[in-house]
Amino acid sequence: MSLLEVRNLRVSFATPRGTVQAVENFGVSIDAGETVALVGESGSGKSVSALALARLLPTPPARIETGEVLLAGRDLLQLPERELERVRGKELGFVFQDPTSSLHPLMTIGEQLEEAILVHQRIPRVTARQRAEWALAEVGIADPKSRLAAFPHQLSGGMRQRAMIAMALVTRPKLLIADEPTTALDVTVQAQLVALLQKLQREHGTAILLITHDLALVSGFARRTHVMYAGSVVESGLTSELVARPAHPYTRALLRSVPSLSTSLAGALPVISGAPPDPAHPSIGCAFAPRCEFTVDSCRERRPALVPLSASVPGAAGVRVQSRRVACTESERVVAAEVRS
Amino acid sequence: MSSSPRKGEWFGDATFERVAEQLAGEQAPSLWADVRRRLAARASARWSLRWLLALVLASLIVPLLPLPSPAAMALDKQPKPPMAPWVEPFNERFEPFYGELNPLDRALVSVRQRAFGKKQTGPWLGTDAKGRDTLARILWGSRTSLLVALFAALTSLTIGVAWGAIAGLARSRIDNAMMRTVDVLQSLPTIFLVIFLLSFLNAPSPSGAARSVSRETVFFLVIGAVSWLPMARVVRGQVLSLRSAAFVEAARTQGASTSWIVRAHIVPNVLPIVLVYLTLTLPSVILYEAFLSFLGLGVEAPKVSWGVLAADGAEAISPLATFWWLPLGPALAMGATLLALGLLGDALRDALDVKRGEA
Amino acid sequence: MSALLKVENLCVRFPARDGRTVHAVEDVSLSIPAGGALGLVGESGSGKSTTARAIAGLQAPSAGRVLLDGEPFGPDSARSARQRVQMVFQDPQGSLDPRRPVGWSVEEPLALQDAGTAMTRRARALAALDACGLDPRLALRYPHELSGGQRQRVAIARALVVEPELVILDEPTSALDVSVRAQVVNLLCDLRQRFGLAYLFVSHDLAVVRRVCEDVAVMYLGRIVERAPRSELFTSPRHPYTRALLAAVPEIGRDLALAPLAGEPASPLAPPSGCAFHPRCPRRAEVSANRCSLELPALEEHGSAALACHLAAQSVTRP
Repeated sequence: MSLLEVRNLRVSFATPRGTVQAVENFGVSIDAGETVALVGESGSGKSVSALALARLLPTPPARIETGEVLLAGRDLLQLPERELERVRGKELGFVFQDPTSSLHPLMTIGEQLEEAILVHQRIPRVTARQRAEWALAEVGIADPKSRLAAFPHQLSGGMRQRAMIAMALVTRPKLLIADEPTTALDVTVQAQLVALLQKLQREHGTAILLITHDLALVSGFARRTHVMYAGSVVESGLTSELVARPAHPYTRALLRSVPSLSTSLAGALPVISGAPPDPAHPSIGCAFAPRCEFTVDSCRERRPALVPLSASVPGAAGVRVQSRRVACTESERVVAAEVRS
Repeated sequence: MSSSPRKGEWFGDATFERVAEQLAGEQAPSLWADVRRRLAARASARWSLRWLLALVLASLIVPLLPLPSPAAMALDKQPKPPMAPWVEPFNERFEPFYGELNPLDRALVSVRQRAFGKKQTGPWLGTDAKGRDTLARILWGSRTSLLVALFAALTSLTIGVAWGAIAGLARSRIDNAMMRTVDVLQSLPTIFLVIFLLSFLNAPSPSGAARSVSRETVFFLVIGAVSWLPMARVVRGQVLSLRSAAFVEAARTQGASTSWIVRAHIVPNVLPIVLVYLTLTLPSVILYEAFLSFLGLGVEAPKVSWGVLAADGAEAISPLATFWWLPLGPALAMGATLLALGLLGDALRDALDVKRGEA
Repeated sequence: MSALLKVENLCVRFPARDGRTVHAVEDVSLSIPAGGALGLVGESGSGKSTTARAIAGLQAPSAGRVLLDGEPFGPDSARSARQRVQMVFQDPQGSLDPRRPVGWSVEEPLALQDAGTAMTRRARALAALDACGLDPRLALRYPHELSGGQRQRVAIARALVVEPELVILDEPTSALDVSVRAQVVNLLCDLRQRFGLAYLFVSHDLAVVRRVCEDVAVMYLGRIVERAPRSELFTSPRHPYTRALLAAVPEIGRDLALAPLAGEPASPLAPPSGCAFHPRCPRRAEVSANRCSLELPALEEHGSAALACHLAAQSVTRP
């Protein structure tokens, strides 16, 4: 049985302009110790989904319309608030994008770590302080004892994020949800943090749900990836296969348009024309159709459902598409097309 | 790169001249029109504006109204409760004594005399212990409040904005000096200042002759010295943040002079906050005047203001007999005005916020 | 070939609150030929943005000079000179006046020049918008009504409307959605070809810099540590920092740097002695035996490339 199973999550927001559907249809399953990535850009609903499954969204403007979030069998959406608080922090850990705003500016790192520990365990404060020091050492912060007394603004961005990871993992949660944890950081610091997360995952067996817009980042890190666009999952599967042979036009277009250090310099970058859709004005058919190069008429009439990709895809000889799900009626043509021409 | 267009000819295509003419016909929708529309859409803003306009109008035409004089005393022993107007619509007692009036008011009074003769209405809101009509006093008192508000607004808009803008644009030493001055002035306990100035300015001159500077003059002096301070701070903050805004830096890379940047970029972006702040600080000035008058340091008899009325009203509350109409009238009038200003300020702030786009 | 832009020993220092000095940019020299493109890469604290701002005339240098066609260039230069160097900023929303229609912002540089009539100025602004792939009718809209990609195109149009020779771009794609970045990158390459522009492209995104610029300079803690044509820098980087930087860029199908660069950059308030990178240098074993901790390596030219490293210089045999 998987550790986390999310099904049919739908989230809407009440805005002055009316109700906006932020997440149409979100589902994910994560096994113990596994890393799963959620990839998408702004407006895709990836962050909203992650916050919603832990009920961290403020529920007057946000509304979880339907969905099941089964953590080790228990539906988090049905739990009373008090029990949910116990789950959060103890079994679910969180790391957010901007450590400057997610760390309390007026409390020292040590105090915040101790608070994180003491909320879930009744131990003497001295013991908690000791654990806090070990936690900082574990995430690679040099001289942890004196760092306990530091305020967040006295640390660099990379160190703040390490402190956040320490706080998230100090209670040994089963699942760590990391929302764009490295987006605001330099690329060398990002590499350090990825190595750190992988090491901690090996040592503690924590599962990780990694949310990002960077497909290249997840390709070496996450075993499975879900690609989101305009509030729905459009493709999911094994990361290595997904980036080698994408089955959804958006995934393919993304892979082609984001330059890497080895992309050929001849000719212009393949672009995705247009811009991501406005969540306040959803379209009737597939949300990607206006920008897609594989559209047929049926694309504008109906939203395609997320279905398993059939293993017998013509032109995909030698390509494994095990456990791939895609929301596109033209996926066969997409798989057959090369990513790099 | 061998066929790069020559300088001056990159964008010289005539087709765009035609497009330019077409577009010249369609003016860009003005942001101020958008503000007006948004304000009008909000009920609280509409009603606030109506109340305030009605108040201003009433305070201007009050000499025209067939009301008893605010200073006219009839020394009955008891204050009279509000009387239904239709019981005694007009009586023949006519008290033209309004105290010293300026020529415009005198003209209005003479118009009234011709229109209504000796008639005036009875006490709509009752009278106080000295027989003075409460409604008339509220309306005449509103003049003082509005005058104070106007004066504070003027000093804020002139001294406050200029001070804040110069401090925001100047080098840090001058900025520091200017803002420390603001700090010092803001830390003055104004009540003591009023008392001090009153006694100081009313002390006999060396030659022995008595001087008399009215409390009102001193009061307005102090208001003038102090009411522009918050505006100066706000404007300075806004100007400082605008100075380092990317669009101002972009203008500098284009060789814009400081005066251009101030005129074209800083002023339009500071104006909204000035307006909002104005409507939000006027209530405190009005309240302050009422407070000082309540303490007896503001307006003196026979002039009347809402603070004076509140003071009289407070005296009127005793365990033996409650003349509830005496504090209630002025309290409601002042409360409504302060609320209207606050709601209007709120609505203005939302209406002026460019980023809250609407479909 | 004389260079369009020549920067000589540029230093920018800021006084810190406690009396110390922040050495944001130290001894930076570079040159860009007319129509050339130089990428300036580095991480936070490298001084690349400050360098760009100093070259754009937004920041007066503490030492050194900036020469445009041999003439000194800075915040005090005449308007006609300043309009030869334009800048595109990182945040497209912040770089446009929120209370003006975007057409006004694009016309502003022309209005400052006071060239031609209002109608011709407007026509030129509209043509610039069109050249950047925007419908000229968008000129009537306000910035908050446009998408991020559109706003950045407006900013580029504004930079182009005065026909500059050098455009300084400070992280022009970082604030944009991933799916929109390719559009802007292609646009920048097209415009450069079409109008013969020279670019100084500052970014931390190495893949984008590689697409746009023929030469790349790598900065660390205020200094240039390596400069090379892109054909060399990305295939055979020589400076240990450049190597670590390239290894840290996520690539599809490759596990991220197995031994990532350790530590954090030192503070510009207190740079390490000698080579600023030596505390983190992966070739640490060789460091102590060398001058790395004692002597600042000079930026030495090797043909079309330059390198500031005691260690790598010793093993330079490759062309």
